[in-house]
Amino acid sequence: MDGLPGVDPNALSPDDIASIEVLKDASAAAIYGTRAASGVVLITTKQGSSGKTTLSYGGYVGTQAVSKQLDVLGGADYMRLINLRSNSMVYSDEEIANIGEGTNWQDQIFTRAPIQNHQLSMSGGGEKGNYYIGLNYFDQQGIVKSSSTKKYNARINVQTRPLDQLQVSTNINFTRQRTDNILFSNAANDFAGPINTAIQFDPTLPPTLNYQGRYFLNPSIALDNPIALIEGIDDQDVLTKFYGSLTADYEVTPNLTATVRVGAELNTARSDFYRSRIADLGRANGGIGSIGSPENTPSEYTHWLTEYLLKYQKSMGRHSFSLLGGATFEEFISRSIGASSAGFLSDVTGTDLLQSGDGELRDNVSSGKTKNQLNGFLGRATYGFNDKYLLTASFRIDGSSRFSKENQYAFFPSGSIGWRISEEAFMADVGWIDELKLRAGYGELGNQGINNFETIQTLVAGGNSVFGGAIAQGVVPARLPNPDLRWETTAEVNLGVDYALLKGRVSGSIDYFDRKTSDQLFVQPLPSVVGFSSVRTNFGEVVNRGVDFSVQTQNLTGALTWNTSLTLSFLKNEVTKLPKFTQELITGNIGTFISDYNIVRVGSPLRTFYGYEINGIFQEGDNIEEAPTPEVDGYAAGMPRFVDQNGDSVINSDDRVVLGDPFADISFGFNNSLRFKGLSLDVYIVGVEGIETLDANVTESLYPTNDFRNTISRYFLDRWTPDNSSNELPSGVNPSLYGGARAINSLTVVDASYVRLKNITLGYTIPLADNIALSSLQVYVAAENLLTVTNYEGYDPDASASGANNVSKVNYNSYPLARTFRLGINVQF
Amino acid sequence: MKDNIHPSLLYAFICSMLLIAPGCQDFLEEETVTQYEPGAFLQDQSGVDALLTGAYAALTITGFGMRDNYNILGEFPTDMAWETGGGLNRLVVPIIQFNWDASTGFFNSQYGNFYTAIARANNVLSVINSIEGLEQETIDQVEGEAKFIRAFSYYMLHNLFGPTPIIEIPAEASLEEIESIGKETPRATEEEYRAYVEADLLVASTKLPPGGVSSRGNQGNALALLTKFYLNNKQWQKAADAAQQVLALDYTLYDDYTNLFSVGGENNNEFIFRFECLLGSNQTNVYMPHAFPPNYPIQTNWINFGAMFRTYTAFYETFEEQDIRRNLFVTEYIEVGNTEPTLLNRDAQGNPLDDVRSFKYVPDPNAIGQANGNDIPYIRLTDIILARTEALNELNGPSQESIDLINQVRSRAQVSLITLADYPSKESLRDFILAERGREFYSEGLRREDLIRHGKFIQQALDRGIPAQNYQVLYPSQAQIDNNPKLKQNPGYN
Repeated sequence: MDGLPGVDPNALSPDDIASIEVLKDASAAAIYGTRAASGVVLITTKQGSSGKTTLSYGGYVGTQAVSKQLDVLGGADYMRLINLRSNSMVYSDEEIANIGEGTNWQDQIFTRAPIQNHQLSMSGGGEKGNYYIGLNYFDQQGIVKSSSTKKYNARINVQTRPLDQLQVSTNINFTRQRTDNILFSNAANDFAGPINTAIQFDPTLPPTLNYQGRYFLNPSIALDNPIALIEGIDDQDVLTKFYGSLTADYEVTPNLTATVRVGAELNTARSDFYRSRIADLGRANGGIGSIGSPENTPSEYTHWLTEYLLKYQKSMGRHSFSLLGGATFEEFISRSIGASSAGFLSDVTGTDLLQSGDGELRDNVSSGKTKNQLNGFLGRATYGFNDKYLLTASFRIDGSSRFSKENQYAFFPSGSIGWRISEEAFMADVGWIDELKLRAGYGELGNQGINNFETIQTLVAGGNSVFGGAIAQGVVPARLPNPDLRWETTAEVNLGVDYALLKGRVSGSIDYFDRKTSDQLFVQPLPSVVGFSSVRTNFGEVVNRGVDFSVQTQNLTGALTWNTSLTLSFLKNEVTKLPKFTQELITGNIGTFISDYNIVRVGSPLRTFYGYEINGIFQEGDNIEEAPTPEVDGYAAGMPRFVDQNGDSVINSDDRVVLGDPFADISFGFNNSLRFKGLSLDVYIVGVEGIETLDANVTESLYPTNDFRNTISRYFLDRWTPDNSSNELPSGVNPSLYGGARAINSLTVVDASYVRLKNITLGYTIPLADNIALSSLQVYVAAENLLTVTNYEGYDPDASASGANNVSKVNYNSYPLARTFRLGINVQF
Repeated sequence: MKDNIHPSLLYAFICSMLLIAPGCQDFLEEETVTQYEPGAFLQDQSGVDALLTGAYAALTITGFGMRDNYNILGEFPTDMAWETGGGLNRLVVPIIQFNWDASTGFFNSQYGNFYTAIARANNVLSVINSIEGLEQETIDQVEGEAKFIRAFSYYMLHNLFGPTPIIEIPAEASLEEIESIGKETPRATEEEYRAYVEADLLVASTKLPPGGVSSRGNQGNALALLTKFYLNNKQWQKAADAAQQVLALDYTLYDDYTNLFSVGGENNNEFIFRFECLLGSNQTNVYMPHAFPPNYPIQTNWINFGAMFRTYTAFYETFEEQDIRRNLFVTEYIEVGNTEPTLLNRDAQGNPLDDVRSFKYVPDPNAIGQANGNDIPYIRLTDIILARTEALNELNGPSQESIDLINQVRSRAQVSLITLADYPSKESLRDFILAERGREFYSEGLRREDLIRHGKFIQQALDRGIPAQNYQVLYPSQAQIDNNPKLKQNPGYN
């Protein structure tokens, strides 16, 4: 971001962005060092230009709604489901006849919600400098009740030239963001959040208060009431982010430029969480309040950067050279503080009066601090001949405080060659080719992805115990240190072609990449007899290979113009090497009761879904006795027919196979842009193909954690019964016989491919007379997520419960996708 | 153009490069701001005490760990109790139904927890000798307690899994060496294992004084644990002798059994080894939310989970009516909003409901949600009394001493006393002792080991109509087999 690495791209106003450049080639990204291992995105914000001062306003208002609800059972069907599961008449025929549809709990927690955004920008400049000022206000109410985001952003960019040879640039950005969250956790049962609960809660209960003034609970269901979780939980995050950089470029000679950059990010974050007596757990605790910082975000974060660069450029005839050398120093300090209490005098004060809790009984304080440093040295040389042949060689030496002295620094070389074939004489006659360039590159990048202290043994506080009625403070060894940890290296080969054909009517590029990550920093399991169940190691090798195509075409020119742009990516991820001795690594845990669904094994993508294949349902009259089944008594018609992969006539853990992987084989983006006079129409479609997800809502429907929980309709209505000989969905009778570890199967690991109409915008630029103050005026209507075509049953095939830092893709408790309509205006004075 | 260079600026730039470059090594110094360097921290007794406390923390069985160990693994596969409802049910059904397999999470977490305690105890033992200037008395105390922690952990592992690997890691072992110890150490033989645990407990009982808090190792609970180890291994003479040593110490029976397990009864001299629970600490007792029946009228500061821990009617009916231990069961109650009682033992037609609730850990009036403050006993004086009785009976058949010991337990429970004439044979007294242990120790997690020792664990399951297999007297643990090619799974499991 304007030369400052690692800035959160959400901490700015999108309207302040001048350009975004994506460096996919490792040879180009390598110079940016660690953190660039998956590519580099260079964001440049707007600058003023010399001349007239411009003032512009852009804004929109809109409305959002949940794009899709899960179809769960209504009251009568739910009662039938409970009767089936309990194998008795919990609900009488009369009750079933009278209940009707019952309560749709999703309707109770979802809502239509407004969204608005306003941006005011001013820019200008003169001979000695220029400026840009941007102010932004963004307000999004949530489509789940009680959630919202408000963001204020201010930016000032100033460039001045105090001397002819010296340019000083300053970028300053300030963001304040307030987010009200719903309880959004992957916890299960009484600790689950409102989305999970709304899907599974008892639809026969009314969405009102009972005679005790509380929301209704089903004592058997072990879930709080969804409305109580909305109204009884106040979870608010306030983030304040400041970052800025000061860059001085000094022209030592016309060919030699020296640059000094000083940058800083100074963030503070605070989260307040209050669970009032409206919620069941809050009631039992007399209110629970805590103040701290959001997950993975410290209360206070400071990042300092100092960077020195020296650039030399020279052209001699048809030869051009450049040299770049530099050093960077960065320091990261995180500090956290937290306090909590419970048993409050009243819910009224929330987290604003923690001292009104029950004192030492449940007062808790915590604080923490971490600090780490990065140091890099870089160099790059380029040579070009006649703009036809281009050579680049560069290196980077990266050092991290997290590694032990011996392994602190590592060397990462890179290089590339380019050949602009279209400049060759023999191409001069080929009229339909405007430009054709071949590129090849190789780059290595380091990743320091470990935590502080992992190479040294320390003792940490914790491990308290109670002796004689008093708490005794304990310490425990923090870890099994691995002093030999070293940089994880990503080596990437790129081959590419850039082309422009037919007078620029068709242009684009084709890129092939082969990215091999070796010495991967990985948590390796240990036999827990040594007291630790894992140790960080440089473990194994993963290869990502893929091809990216991009084509831009000008289909129509003239009064009506029509441009399209298509990007298409093919990706293959494969684990190619694991250390000997480590057996198949099967991990994964979500929602407490679903576990061991990922496997890391050579020849498969990383964290592939691993479980049992089902190829039908046993029908009445099938010879189940003789057929391969799990080793349980009572396996009957209506239960799944698992595939006996190894042919030993028994279904056990040896019959597990790869069921899918969390990486899309193909992803694409397709943009169409039409212009006619002042009218414009933009249609953006995205999609992925060949990606799977473990759907925990399906797991819950087939294998309920609790028999009183509601289910996705078709798993009950379309189930196998003696009268409905479904070959797809099991009977739901005695699911534990085909569940347990077998719940990870081809019914629960599902295809998450989709094609989505991501955005459609219709705009009109109003023609203006010369004599008014406005220089341009545009209005538009836009819609997001109008249509998604997918076989996936859940809210959003694109969601992942474990968040962005985990490649595994499990759908659980995910926030639903919003469909948004907006009306906007852009004015320039 | 050359005139335009500003030498001062160039000079400043080069200087700053040079100034910082030599400092690079220091720039990347890793500072341990919130953690302790072992050498600096472990210089005196307070550091070692903190390290020992950390070892106890891994050993302690409280919270949901107590539920897993005592209730789920210790009682649900027995004639005493079972479970329905809640999110827990799916995990617990295989335990109740005897169709557990090696991947069951409960087994791996028990295995991991106790080996963590062992590793921490071993760490204490390896640092204690490297610290200078400690009094011999302190060294003895720390060594005794660390060995108690280690022995208790191996004891629990032995109960659940049979003999497991015995792990000792040299103080200066490299990561590779530690890994290969973990991956290559085979199971100890039964003899090696017994000798190892016995030696640790003998050291602990010699080096530690008899008194002190009952939540830390001392002479009394080291001998008591040794008694139970001998007993479960059917080393009858040793068990009888060790029990006698414990009985000679200063333990007394608490008068009121019905108050013994409440917060008010904590100040007793009957708990020989206990896990202390304290509101506001990380050690609490979460049993009661599982025991409240649906819509039970609870205080507003309590909580009732969907998981229902239920006691079998047949077990409940083994108590005499006047037995005050029976008073800690709830057999009927009035649901919130109802006026008619809900029956839990037998329905109106007399059919067994198997839904009696043990309220043994009497709800803590000050409980905070799930957290109650009731201490959790592991060895009580009556356990040792009945252990001596059982060992004597196995050695010599019924004797007046055995009868007198049993009557100590029974008279405190205010039930009829027995006479030697009632139990003429070794077999009849053996069965009576097992039944009496059930009545004395329900909800204390001892039933599984008692039934196994008496050879009735599998038979009783078959009697309940559950297809149990003989090999299921030991639990399997998958994660460990995966990482150690020298380990074989317990027989019968694949």
